[in-house]
Formats: sequence, structure tokens, C-alpha cells
Amino acid sequence: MTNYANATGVPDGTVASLAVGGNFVLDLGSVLPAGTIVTIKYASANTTAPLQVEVSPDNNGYTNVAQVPGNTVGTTYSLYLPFDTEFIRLTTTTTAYTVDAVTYTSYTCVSSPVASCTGAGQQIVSYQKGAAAVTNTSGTITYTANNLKASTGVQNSSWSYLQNNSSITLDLGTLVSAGNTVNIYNGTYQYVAGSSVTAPLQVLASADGVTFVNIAQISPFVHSGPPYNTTSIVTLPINAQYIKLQTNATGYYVDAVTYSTYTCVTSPVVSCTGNQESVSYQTGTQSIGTATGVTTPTNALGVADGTLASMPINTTLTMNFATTVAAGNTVAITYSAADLASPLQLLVSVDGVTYTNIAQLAQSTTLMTSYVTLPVAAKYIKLETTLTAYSVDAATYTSYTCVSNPTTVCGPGQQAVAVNTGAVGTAGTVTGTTSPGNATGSSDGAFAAMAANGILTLDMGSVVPGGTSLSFTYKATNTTTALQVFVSTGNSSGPFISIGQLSPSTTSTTQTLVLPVSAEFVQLQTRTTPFSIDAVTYPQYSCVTSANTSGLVFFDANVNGISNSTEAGIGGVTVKAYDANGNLVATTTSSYGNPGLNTPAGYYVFTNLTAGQPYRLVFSYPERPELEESTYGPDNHGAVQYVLGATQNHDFGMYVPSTLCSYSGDTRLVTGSGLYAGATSSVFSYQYYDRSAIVQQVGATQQSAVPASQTQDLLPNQVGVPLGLASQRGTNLIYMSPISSNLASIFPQAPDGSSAIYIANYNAPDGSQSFQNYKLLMKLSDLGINVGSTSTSLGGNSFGVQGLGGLDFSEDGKTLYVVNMYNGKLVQVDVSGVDYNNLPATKPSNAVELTPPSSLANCSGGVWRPAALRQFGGKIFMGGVCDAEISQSTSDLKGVIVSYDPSTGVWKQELSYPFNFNGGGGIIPPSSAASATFDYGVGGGKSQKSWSSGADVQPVLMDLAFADNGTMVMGVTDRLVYNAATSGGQTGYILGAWKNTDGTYSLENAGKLGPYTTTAAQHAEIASEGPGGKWFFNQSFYYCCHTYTFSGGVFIKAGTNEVVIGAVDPGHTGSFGTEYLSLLNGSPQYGVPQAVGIAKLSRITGAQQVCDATPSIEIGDRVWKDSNGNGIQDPGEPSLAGVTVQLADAQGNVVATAITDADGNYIFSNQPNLTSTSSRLYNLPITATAPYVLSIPSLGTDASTVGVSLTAVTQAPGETAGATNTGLSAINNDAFLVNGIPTIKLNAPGPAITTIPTILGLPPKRPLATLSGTMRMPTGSRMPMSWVYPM
Amino acid sequence: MQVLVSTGTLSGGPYTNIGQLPASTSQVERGILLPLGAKFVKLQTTGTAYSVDAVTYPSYVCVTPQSTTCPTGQQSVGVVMGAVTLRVRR
Repeated sequence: MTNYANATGVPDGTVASLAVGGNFVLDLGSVLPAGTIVTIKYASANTTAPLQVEVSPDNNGYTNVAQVPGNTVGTTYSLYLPFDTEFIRLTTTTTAYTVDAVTYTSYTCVSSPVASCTGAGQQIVSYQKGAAAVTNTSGTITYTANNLKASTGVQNSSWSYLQNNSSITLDLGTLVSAGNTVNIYNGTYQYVAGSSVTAPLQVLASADGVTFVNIAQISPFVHSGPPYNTTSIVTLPINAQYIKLQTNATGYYVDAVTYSTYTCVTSPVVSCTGNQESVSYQTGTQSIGTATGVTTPTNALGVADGTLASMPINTTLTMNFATTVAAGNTVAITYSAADLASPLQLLVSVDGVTYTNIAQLAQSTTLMTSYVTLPVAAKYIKLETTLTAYSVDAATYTSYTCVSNPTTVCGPGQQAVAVNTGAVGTAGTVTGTTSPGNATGSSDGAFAAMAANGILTLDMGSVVPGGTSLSFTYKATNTTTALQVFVSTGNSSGPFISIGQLSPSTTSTTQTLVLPVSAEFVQLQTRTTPFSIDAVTYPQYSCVTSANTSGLVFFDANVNGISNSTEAGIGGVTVKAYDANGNLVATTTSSYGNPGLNTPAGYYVFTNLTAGQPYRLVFSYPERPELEESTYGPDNHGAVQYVLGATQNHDFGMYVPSTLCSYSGDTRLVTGSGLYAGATSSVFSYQYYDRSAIVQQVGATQQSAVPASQTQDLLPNQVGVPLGLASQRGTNLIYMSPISSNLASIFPQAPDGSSAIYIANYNAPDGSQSFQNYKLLMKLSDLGINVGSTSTSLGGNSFGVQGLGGLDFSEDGKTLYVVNMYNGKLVQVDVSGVDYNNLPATKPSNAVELTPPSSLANCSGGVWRPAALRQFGGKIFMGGVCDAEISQSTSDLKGVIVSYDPSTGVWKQELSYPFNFNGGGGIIPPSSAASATFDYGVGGGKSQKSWSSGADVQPVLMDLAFADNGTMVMGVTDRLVYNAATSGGQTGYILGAWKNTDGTYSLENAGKLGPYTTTAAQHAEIASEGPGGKWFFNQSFYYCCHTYTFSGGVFIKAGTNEVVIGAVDPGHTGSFGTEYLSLLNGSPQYGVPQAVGIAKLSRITGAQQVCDATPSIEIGDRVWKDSNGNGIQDPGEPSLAGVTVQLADAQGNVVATAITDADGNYIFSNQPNLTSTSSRLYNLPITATAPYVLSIPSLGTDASTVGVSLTAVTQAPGETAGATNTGLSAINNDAFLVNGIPTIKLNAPGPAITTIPTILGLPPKRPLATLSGTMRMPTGSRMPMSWVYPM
Repeated sequence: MQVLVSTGTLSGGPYTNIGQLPASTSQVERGILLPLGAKFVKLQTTGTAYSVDAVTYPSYVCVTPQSTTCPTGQQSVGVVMGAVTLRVRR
């Protein structure tokens, strides 16, 4: 009797036995078209003879299409069907086979389940819901919780064990639509000693509980010991309410089957208007409800303070926020677990009766904080343990307020100055504190001593306005727990709100907190760590006599026209002052900052302008062509300003359009990484600001978790391992070039070869930038580009001498550039016609190679080997090294960065420096046998070697990134790591080059980067390494084990003042991930593990954010009274307020109408993230390719317009009536009368205008044609209008 | 082992020697690029005995891969399907 029928159906561990010389035929049920992939799961008795595969459409004539090789362990074999096929005949000759199944994949299109949130400021939030009931079982099932509910509900490590040939059917409680995913939390292990784990778990789905469809097979995961958590995600191909899990030859544990529930919630982050900015603080729970079995439950009240409530297994802790926290807010739970067996359940409720389970918090045996966005409103928090005991520090939510910088505005001839003012005395509760009076007044070195659990309440003397920065000067006895800071507005006995925690420091330090609310009383509370308090002060402003005319030039990274506290000042900007007669009377330059003189970066000052007299200030920055004027706003008054002498706060905001990525702030960060020790994904992504799993201090406790938002997006058999990553702005697409090396175990070749370029799609329907899918863009070899092959090598190493390097886009996103490492050329590809949804039909049809002049690198004794590529300010920067491969002399080894300007075709050397310092790798400790194998950065750095010598470190300039101030950060890795799995210096280093006022770059030296001096502590063994004997950037964030941790990938997000690098051990000794470092002092901010416990040598290869925005278009300027009728905005001529300005398209359709503000200003913009006012209108449907018409139908009734005639428009010199305005001048009148209405005709800011010449000292603008489609109307295009008194 | 090929319609030849396969005591697979069209292959041994399993050539056809493309707002879901029935042995 045969068992051939066991080969039907999907893999289930039961097999058909095919003896020598046997065959059988399987009917696939219908004719499958040629091109279908068929997979055979089988094993053989030996490997002598293959299994013959014949196919037929009708069970008559058969064609032999494959010979499947023998495999005694058991494997799968896949083949493309070359013909239409319904019947498959398997035939053995001299070797016996067993066959489990012959399968194919049937694809169907189903709706994406995630609805888009359409409300303003809304975001989508999901949480898991578990099965409501068990409806049926078969076979033998045992339960750890001894009841049928073990597999209902969400993941809680309460298991059902399905023995062989058993099933359980779960009712999800509602019909879940096709396209949704179900999470199956399951585990397997060798239940009976000696038994094999062979058969998958079958997943069947049904809408009615009667007719089931097999939708997936979950592969077994062999693990000794108790059930091991495995989560399998299955997308439903049909609508389903019932899920049946069926075992065959292998028993499985099942914890839960869940599905996602999606809701749209409103983000609680307050959008502040005017010159206010948002400040947040944490608020904890106020009272305890149920706490049966919990030890010291009140320790979980309030904010995180290091005191813990202990929750044994199977206990519940309920706490009350005392206010209903809206859905969309974020709650933070700080806790630790006794072991990793079972998650902590988080439930919330608004009434304390009906709770919703919204999250299962990740297990961590070290104290961590998990952040959960509330899908529903919550007043009560319930925490539940099951099989793992937990310690809970706090549950808090984030409150937001809008505050103003309380700087006083002074009149002409005066200036606001700040005096640090301290507390006037103690008030209210003071306990456990010796000499409390020492904490009053300003800092004087005399301390109030607070014991553990002490309280010190201070009276600041008057209500200090919200937005003020409070400074705390203090020190701590140890670094165990933080100092808690609370404030109260008007009563020394409270109520107090927590505004933050001050980190303990055993040396005297000063830290600041911004007051989110106005407050007179400050209360400090210690926990287990005693603190000494010197002073609590705030700046009190007053007006003093001053001749200064001043302001701040700032980098407006978020393009909102407000100088936010995190945005840096810009030095080197020239400011010229003209008097009412147009005479240049003074010139100054903004400062790079001088901490010794307390001069902030960006500050400029004139000391010789006459108080109260009118002036025109004109800002210029000819050596920073990448900068553009930011949007007009409360702090940005434009590149041309009309001011009175001896007045202040004439600020000017700029940004770099080429780095603008998104207006939402928190973009998705994508990293490429190799494979090592179990890592399987080559593309990861997470939210840039996800701090749910970080390590914040050098040498801190290890972080075992990975970011909650992290996903593993792509596998190497899909896209290889990306080396270059580039964001095409406004598309949510990431283009990727694969690394090519002969180290296939860590860097597998891309399936389409080393010239392939792929696109990862993060354009999620809900706007979340979650990964969707990927496509092959093209193979450059198809366009005649030769990138060599891995047989091309230098010193036995194929990396760096073939394949593709970094890639990036032109500023307009229409041209793709990529490094050809085979010949050192720059490949230029026109991608303007690429439509992701219509690939490969729209793939590029040609590519050209540009050759950098060899004189730029000027290598001797070797070849320039570029790998890095990054566009900044429109220029394409290529970074490489002179490899000294011929001379083998380290003196010939140098790093060279060149640039290519697509607008002019000009190449330029930007930086050249010698590798005459130690860095990267490390020295093998002779006493460590383990390190003799794994030499990845222990001890001092190595001297850098020429390529081909076979020794490490052979420097590769792997990646480039540019900061807001023009600083260039370079990542250098060791070429040997791309050729050897575990030998060689596995890590490299990062270093910076400062952009000078004249546009040249200077390499960091002796720990200094331009005006900045490092404060980054270094491991003692490398403290005297780097250029000039000291590094600027911290090279070894996680101190415990390694002196150098950079592994590749450098990224800078505009406006953050920090650089993100790929690293080994970013906070855990067995991890790889990212580290965030300050660009202002090189010190580490925090580390983010991407994978823990495995894969530390997987090596990040590149990093880039996903971009959903392009620079906005802005039309507008000012309406003023041209008192002298010369058509020029002269200093002192008054603004016209309340004037109606209309924007219409070329057909006369009104787009929007604005009313000028008190300064005569009006703005029309398509920028989406700003709040419109009557004078500033945003989020308008303005495009860069259409002409527009501005007109003034009414002057309004404001007093400033009295006596002004609508038709008395002056003509400016150089302007021609009726002509389209060219925006040649920022200070003249552009309007003419058309049908009796003042009108300005605007051309499209794209191709129709080619250049804008220099005017009034403003720098020349780049040709606009290169920016068409995404162009911000440049400063010179703002369109003033003017009127004169009737003649 | 000598490899000869013939383009004729009959197996009688004439044959052209196009390559020599190196000896191997374990089973191996070697490829030879045909320098001329051939219908018949003749294998000749001299001083060493050989065992021959098969002489094959790849046959290429163009097929259309399964589509996983869906309209906007939809996604492709794959379900693994197995054989439906066992058919009469042939």
C-alpha cells in the first residue's frame, strides 16, 4: 500500500515515499500558467540520483523540466514552470525519495487595511486585540493556565500546547477584513526527547467557522527548554473571523492569535502660533486603585524617580491620572522585568470600570521606559503581570504648553539685558535639608545639603513667566537617582507639577529647564541620592541704554520663521546698513559664537547707527550658496529689513533647501547592514526620534531592546546589502546601491548583480512611512556601464575596486548620481521619467559616466578610490582615498573629497588630507584568546595602511554627511572588513571638516572643529589619537569593550545639531545599530541598538531618512507708502496695513486673499505645516510650474492708508508696465495698474526664468531651471507694491 | 573522454571533436559550449573507462512571472497551494 497521497496539500510533515524506480502524478487542481514558481519539499535516501520532474497540462504528454538533486536532510527546490502545467510527475531512478508537498503560491489583491486619517493633525494608532473565545478543539491539548482561555486574549505567555495531530479554533470576535494581519504567538520545542521537529503549524482561516482555507504554514523553531516566543505575522487573503491552528507531526505551543485595531487620533503636540514654541513635561499618576499583592505600590506614583513598586506574577496595579488624557497622547511606562518570559500588560480606562488592553510591553531586565500612543482616552492605567514579576517606577503622560521667550522688547537707544536672579527664600515644605538658605540667591559655591528623600521648596520672589529658562547649580553624592523638579504658580503648598529631572553629577554642574508654566515656587525632591543645591536662578530682563542695533542670523531648520531654541545661529553672514538716502553707512558680520564673551553664534551688532533713525539692513552670504531665506515669520524678518537705529531683535532665518526632507519632523530612518551570526535582514528602519530603546550615557547599563517602531524591511536575496542609500524627496522612496564584495556570508551579492539599483517604497497609504514593498529600478550594465565583478581585486580583496559606491540625487531629484568604484567615475542617470508604480516600463534608458579630473586628487604612488557620495547645496560631493597601492607608502595615503556642480559642469577639490594618524580597528590584547579571533576595536587604534598590503586598517572613505553650518562629516571604515568575516580591524572612525567663511574646508585638528572644541570623553587608549592627537567626535560610545565603534553609514538630519552613525555596540555588548553624536561638541547623545544578542559584526553600511516633502513655494512681500514717489522702499517710508492682496491664477481664478499686517507684509505659500493668519496664508495649492497674478482690489480702512489712492501707483526704475515681473529687485515697486487695479504678473519660478543677477550686494542665485517643480520663490522674487499720495 | 558532435541527420557522422572532458573518479558535471550546431553527440574513451549519466542542453523559453502588482490602495497576498489529488500512476 502506497502513501503517495501524503504529497498532496501543503507541507505538513507527512510524506509520500517514492521507492527506487517509482513515480506518481500530482494534480495541481487547475492549469497553472508558465512562469509560475513551483516548490517541492522533499528528502532523499542518498545523493546518488536526482529526482526527475516532468510536467503536463493534460496528464498525457510529459516534458522533463528539472532534475532535483538529492538531499538527505530535507530541503525545498523551486523551479519556474516553462509551460502551462496542471500535472506534475515525480520519478525516481536509483535513489529513493520522500516528498512532503508540491506547492505554488496563489496571489490575490486585497485592500490595504489601514485607513488614512483625514482630520487635521491626526495620526493612526493601532493596538492588538486577541481572540474572544475557543470554539472547537481536536486531538490533545494541554494548558499552562489549565483552562481554555490560554490562547485567547493577547500575548501573555499563557500557553496552550497542541500535541501532534491536534487543532484549536479561535473566534476573533469580529469579522476581520482581508488584507489585515494576524499575529500568531507560538512556540515549539522538542516536547519528547528524541522526537523530531519536522512539521509546520497549519494556519486556516474562515469567515463562518465552517469552511476553512489554509492560508499559511508556520515553520518550526527548534528550541530546548520552555516554550520560546515566536511571532508569526500572516496577512489575511480572505475576510476571517475564525482562525484554526492545526498540528501534524509536531506539537506546538500557542499563546495568542491577535489582529490590529486601527484608530485615528489627534496628535497632542500643540502647534504654537506667533513667536511661541512648544514645551513638554511629564505628569505621573496621582493615586493607587487596585494593588493586591503589590509591594510599595505608591512608589509607582508620580514621575520616574528610581523608586519602584514590586509586582509579583499574576498581580494587578491600577493607578489614576486624576484627569482624562486624550487619545493620541503618549504614555510612558518605566519598569523592569525579573526575567524575559512574559510581557507586562498595559490596559487603560476612562471610567475605571471598562479597560482596554492597548499594549504588551517588551521584557527588559534592566530599567527601561516604553512609550505607547493612546488609541483611546485614558484616566486610569492598569498594569497586569502573568508569568513574570515586574518592578514599576512610573506611568506618565506628556503635557504640552506654548510659551514665549520672555525677552523684553526695548525702544530705540535701549537694549534688553538679563540679570540672573535667584530665589529670595525658602517657603512651604522643607525637610531633610541642611542650610536651605544656601540655595537662595545666585550661585556662590555655598550649598544647601539635601539628604535622601528630602524636600526643598524655594520662593523665586515673583511669578516667573512660562518660557523662562530656570538654571540649577548642584552636585550629587552618587549617580543613582535624579533630582526631581516641581513648580507651583502661586501657592507654596502646591499643587506642584513635575517639570523634569536633573541628572546626578558628583561634580558641581549647572543644568537648565524651560518653565512650561508660569511659577513662583520651585520644589526640589531627592530620592535615594542626596544632592547639594547651590542656586536656582532665572534671567530677569530690563532695558538699559544702548547704542546697539543687533539681531540673530539663525538656521530655521523646520522652516517656520521662528528661532526655536534648538536651532543654531549662522556665522559669517554679512549685514550692511543703508540710511534713508541709500548710502551704505556700516557693515558687520554675524558671529560664529564666542562662549567666553557669551556671544551666541549668529549674533551681529552695529554700534554706530543713530538711535531712532531709519535704516535698511541687507543680509548677504556669498560663500554659502546652499542657504536660502526661510519663510517669513515672527523671528525671520527677511533678507532686507527696515529698522530704527539702536533697536534689537532684527533676526534673519535661513535654511538649506537641499536638505529639507519633511515638515513633520519625525521621519523614518533607513539603514543597510550586512549579515552576521544570525542576522538575516539587510534593510532596517525605525522612526528617527524613537527613543523607546536607547542608552543615554557612556558606559551605562546595557539596552536589551530595539526601538518599538523598528521593522526589518528587506532581505539580501531581494536587494543585496545596500551600501548607498538616497532619499528622493517628496516621494517616500529610498534608492539603494548594493555592496559588492567576495565575502558572501556577510555581504551577499544582490540578486540582479552588482550594477543593480533598487527602490524601497515607504509611501504608506496612512502617511506613516512604514515599509511597503520594493522594486528593481535598473541594472546599470544594461545601459553599458561596466562596474567590474568580484573577480576584480586588489591585494586579494574585491571591495572598493569594483561595484557601486554611494548614490544620491540632484537637488531637484530628477538626476541620480552613483559612484562606479570599478573606474572611479561618477555615473549620472536621468530618473525624471521614472514612475515607481509603472516599473520596469519607466526605467531609465541611458546613463553617462563623468570623469573627475585626476589633477584634483593628485595621487602619487596609487589610485584615487572614491566610495562616498552626497549632494549638498546642489553640488555632488565624492569622497575617496589615494590608495598608495603602487608605492605601498603610507605617506602617499590621503583622503580627497571633490565636488561636481551640475549647473556649471565644474569639478573642484574640496578637501585633501593625509592619513598620518592612528584610527580604527584596535590592537589584539595578547592575553585574550577570544580577541585573537575577534579583533574589533580593543586597545589603541592602528596606523593606516596602503591598499593591497593585506594589513588593517586600509581606510575607505565610506560615507559623507553635511551639517546645517556646512560642516562635512566623513565616515572611514577598514577595507579589510568587507573581505574577512572576523579578522582585521572591524571598525573605523568619523571625523569632521569645518566650512570656512571663504567656502574652503579645514579638517578637525586636536579636538577642534572650526570654533567648536570637543567635550567628548574618549577611552584612555585612544585619547591621543586622531588628527592633531585628539578626536573631535566620541569614537567609542559604549565604553565597556571597544575603542572604535563606527562601522559605516553617516547621516545628519537638518536642524538637529547631531550626526547619526552606524556602529557596533551602540549600548549593548552584542549589538549593532546607531549612535547620535553632537555636532557642537562631539559628545554622544544616545545609542540605539538595532539587533541585540546577535550580529554585532553585521556592520551598518549606510543610513538615510525617508522624505515626504520638497521645499515650498512662497509668494509675497510688503505694501508700503512710497512717500517720495521714487519707486524704491526707502528706510522710513511707512507700511500700509489692512490692504487686501489677491492671488489669482493666469485665468483669473482667485487662489487666496490676504490682508497685510501692521508691517505691510503678506505671504502666500504652499507650505503645509504652518498655521495661517489673515496676512500669512499657507497650505495653498500653488505649483512651481504655473504663472500667477497678484492684485490689490481694496486698500481697506486702516489708518495707515488714509490719503493713499488705489490708482496712484509709482513706477520703479527698471520695471516695464505690463511685463511679467522678473523679481530683479527686492526693494522696488513691482506693481502696475491693469484695468485700474494695481497688479503684478508673476512668471512660473521654474524654467521660464534662467538666472537672477546680483543686486544690491545680494549673492547671485543659482539658475532656477535646476530647481523647477520644487522651487521656493527666492528672496529677490518677493513682490513689493507701493502707492503714493495723489498728485 | 573525447566529445564529438555531428550536425547531420544521421547518426553516422561525420563527427567533429569539440572537447576533452578531464577524468574524475567521482561523479561530476561538465559543460562544453557547442562551436557548431549539433544533433548527435559521440563520446569516446581511450585508456580510461567512464560511466556516463546524461548529456543535456538547456532549453530556453520566455515566460511571464506571476504578477504581484495591485492597484493603488491594495496589496498582494500570497497563499501557498498544494496538489489537490493524486492521479493515476503512469
